[in-house]
Amino acid sequence: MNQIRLVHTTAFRLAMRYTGFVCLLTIVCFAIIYWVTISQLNTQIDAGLRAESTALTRLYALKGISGLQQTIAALSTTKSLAASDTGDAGPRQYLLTDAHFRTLAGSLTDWPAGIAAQDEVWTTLRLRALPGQPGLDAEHHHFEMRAVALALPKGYHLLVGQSLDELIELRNTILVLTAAAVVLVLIVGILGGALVGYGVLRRLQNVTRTADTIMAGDLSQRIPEEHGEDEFDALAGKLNAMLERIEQLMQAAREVTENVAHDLRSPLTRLRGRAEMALMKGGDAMRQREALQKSIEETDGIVATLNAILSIAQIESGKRRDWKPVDLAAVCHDAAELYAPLAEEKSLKFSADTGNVPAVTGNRQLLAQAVGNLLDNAIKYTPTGGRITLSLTANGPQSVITVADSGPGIPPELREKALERFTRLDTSRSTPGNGLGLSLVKAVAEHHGALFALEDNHPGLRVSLTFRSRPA
Amino acid sequence: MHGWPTEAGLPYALCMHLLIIEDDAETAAYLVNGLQESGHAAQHAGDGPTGLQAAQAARYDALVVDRMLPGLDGLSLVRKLRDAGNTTPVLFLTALADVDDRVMGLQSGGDDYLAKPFAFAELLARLAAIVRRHGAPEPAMQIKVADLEMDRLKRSVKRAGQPIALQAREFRLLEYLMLHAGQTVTRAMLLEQVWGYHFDPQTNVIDVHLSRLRTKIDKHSVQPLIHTVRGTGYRLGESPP
Repeated sequence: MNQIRLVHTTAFRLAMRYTGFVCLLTIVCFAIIYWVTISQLNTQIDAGLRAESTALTRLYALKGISGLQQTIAALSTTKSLAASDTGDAGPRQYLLTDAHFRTLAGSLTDWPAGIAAQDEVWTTLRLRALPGQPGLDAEHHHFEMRAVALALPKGYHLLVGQSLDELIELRNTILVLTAAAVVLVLIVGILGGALVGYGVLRRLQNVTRTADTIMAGDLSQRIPEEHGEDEFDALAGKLNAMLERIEQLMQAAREVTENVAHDLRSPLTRLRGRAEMALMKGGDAMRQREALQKSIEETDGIVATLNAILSIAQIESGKRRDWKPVDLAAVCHDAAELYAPLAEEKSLKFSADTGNVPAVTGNRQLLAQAVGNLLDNAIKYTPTGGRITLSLTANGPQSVITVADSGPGIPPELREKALERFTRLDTSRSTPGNGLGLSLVKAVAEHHGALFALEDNHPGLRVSLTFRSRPA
Repeated sequence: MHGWPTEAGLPYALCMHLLIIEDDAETAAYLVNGLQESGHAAQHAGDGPTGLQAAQAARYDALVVDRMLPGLDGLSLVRKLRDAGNTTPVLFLTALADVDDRVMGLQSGGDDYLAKPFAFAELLARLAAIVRRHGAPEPAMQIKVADLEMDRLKRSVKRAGQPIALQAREFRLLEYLMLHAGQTVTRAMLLEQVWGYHFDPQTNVIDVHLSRLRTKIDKHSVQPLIHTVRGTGYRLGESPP
């Protein structure tokens, strides 16, 4: 058995592709958020530092170095009051030195190396954290700091810094969130894909399971149809219709076999009996000759029946051979011409009215045979002096062939039965025929997508074949 | 050798030299015997290759070829013959009586087609028809059988100088009979050739048409020209069969 694996299903693979796409989109979104947020924060930090350094420069101008020294000492110990005031992230760091970079006040111990403080220098520093340094967590050995170094008049140096810890924290948070979002998308995508894939797989397995059962010989199996409207139900519906048709054909084939067996057994029995009787009768050459003659006739009858059964079976098998546009008027006209003398012979009033109708697509031989059979039946069953009409009329897009007679007709309850194979309503078997005439007409009608109806002609039988002008 | 009878009413005595290519020995024996009894010469080949060889080795008036043959099937055999330029008329015999089959048989170069089982008379009539048609000149526009004259161009018919009015189909029926004067034509042949139907109408409608035609042709004449061949069909000619 060809088990389909979930990961190989189209639905799952499509879901995976889609998931990958969504992951990429998530990463791009978070990257944009990251860059916007970080650059915003950087700008804010720089603005805060600029404001602070400007304020301190002004304080120095007003109160001189001692005033500044006091303020910075106060700021360095009061654990980032300013920071919380301004709403900045993280505590500020200060350092005031003299011209030789000797510390005068501040939270930092030494002037960071590498900064030549002329005018104003912006930099990002990585510093070793001091134990107990205000505003810094003990576990941080290093911290990053955004700083501005200023050269004050009289050779003093001032450095104002802002720890970037919170910025880094935010950055990490965004990264973690991104990873989480991607993982979530992956989980949802894989689960969703599996779910969809499983759903598709399950419904397809309905089909494969049914196919397996059918292959094992049970043709009555059908694919279960579910919610009603989706493409799988449409597919199941189509497949079921196909199976229905196949089963019908198998059934028809079986019927043919049974019919052949049934309907040929009696004439074969007669044939055999006749041959045996001829042997028994001994020397009478005349009677033997007669028996042989009868045997040949019986054989011809058997062959005719066999041919009729086979041609009905062939028509019912649905293979459209010799399929061409056919002029129904010509078909009816020819049939009328062929049968008119026969009707006349029996003193029946026969009239044919064949109007022009659009051509239908079909097999001329079969249509001619069908119309011929209808006329033959009508002539056969209508008593002498009766009336038979053949007409072809256009009824909108439809073309209707009607054969009506004034014979005994068929009672409504027997009409269905009349179409069955080998049904002959006169049980006496006084009329010649194998009981396949109407079955053939019915088969030809179905083959051409035409409607075949038996109606009351008050009195008599009216048979009509209704064709769409362009049967599919 | 076999032309159209120029002189009206001549009995069409024809001894056909035939090759039967049929693998069923009993059917073949029945065919060979029957044909010999009917005054024809018949040889038999039991499979495709032997049949092809025999058909090419000697001149035959017609071949009777079974569709299903061991070694080389009937269709291919006839196709090979035709490809080799051999135009000997071929009558296919088949156990398949499908219309498709018939068309395929005729397309591959067969001249006629007969489904098994068949009446021997039907086989004889069809063989005579294809043999006569083969190599014959285009039939004349004026045909005459005894005192029955037909002008195929003017579409007029006269019996003993008296014009006879015929309907279109009656004319075609008579034309076919006159073109095959002296030969037996079967009902199936008439239905195929005159009406173009390849099915068996349940009642013998052909008989009714023939009897009407006969009324028009033979009514005022002492000598009937249209004869019924019992159990087989009809024959147009001066003398009864």
